[in-house]
Amino acid sequence: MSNLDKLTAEVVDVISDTLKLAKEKITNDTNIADLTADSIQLFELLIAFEKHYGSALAYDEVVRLNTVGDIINYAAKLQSVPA
Amino acid sequence: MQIITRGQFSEDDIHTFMTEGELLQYDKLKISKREDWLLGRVALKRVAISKLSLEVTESGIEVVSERGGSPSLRLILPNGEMKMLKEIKTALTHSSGVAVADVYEVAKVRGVGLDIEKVRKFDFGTLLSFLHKQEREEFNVFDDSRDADKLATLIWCIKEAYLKARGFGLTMHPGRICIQGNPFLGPVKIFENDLDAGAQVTWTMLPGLYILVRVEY
Repeated sequence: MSNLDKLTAEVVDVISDTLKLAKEKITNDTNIADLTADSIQLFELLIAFEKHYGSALAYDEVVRLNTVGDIINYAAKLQSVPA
Repeated sequence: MQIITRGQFSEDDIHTFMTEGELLQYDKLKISKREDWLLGRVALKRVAISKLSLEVTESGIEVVSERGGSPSLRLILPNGEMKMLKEIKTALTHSSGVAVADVYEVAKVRGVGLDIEKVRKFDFGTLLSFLHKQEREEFNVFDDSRDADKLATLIWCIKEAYLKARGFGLTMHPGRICIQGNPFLGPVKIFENDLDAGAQVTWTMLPGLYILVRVEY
């Protein structure tokens, strides 16, 4: 498994655990807004990323990303994982 | 303000109050998002027609989604041309079968934000994260009671409505906003970066344990 695959699995895990969603429903193209039922769920997801990755995946940055793929790419860039 | 709840119109009549552009947008939405989206659009059109005394039907106004902000409105003129209502801003919120909307003139009010949420129990980590340090000390939201849940939900709603009024939405962390005063007991003040924002907060409980907050600043 490549580092990018591991990172992808990790991001999907965070989303799946936080939102109680089946992993199959979460793809790179999935829009974050479509996964969350409301703004509170969106907030919970944002702080889950912050908690999981520390300040590296800071709230202020992740809140501006749209899709699951955007989050994976952003995390990959931070961790110097080739996309 | 206009409140629309599930059952006040039939989705079968959607063609009578939506424009072609809105129908295309509706078709692209996930099914789970469609009802609230529709309720919000209808609430916004109705409040605009009423408050602005527009002589059009609901399908004569198009609600235009704006990325990261409240929607804009445009009139569809008899000749088919569109006219943006640039001097009018909108405020909109919806939650599980209830939508609330308002319109206001940008020349008179800096910003209006609405938020509606059903009273819920927040987990401890979420509470800690969205509450400001002073709020954690001031508000009794951590015990296992319905009143604590109501207060926590109300504080969340005030913060979100304020952030919408400011045009930030959740791009600004709600924990950076501090509310002073217990909203159950009287007026509150909202502080942003330790400065009084001068915002006016009104709130009400709606049937079904919904809390509706309006913030004007």
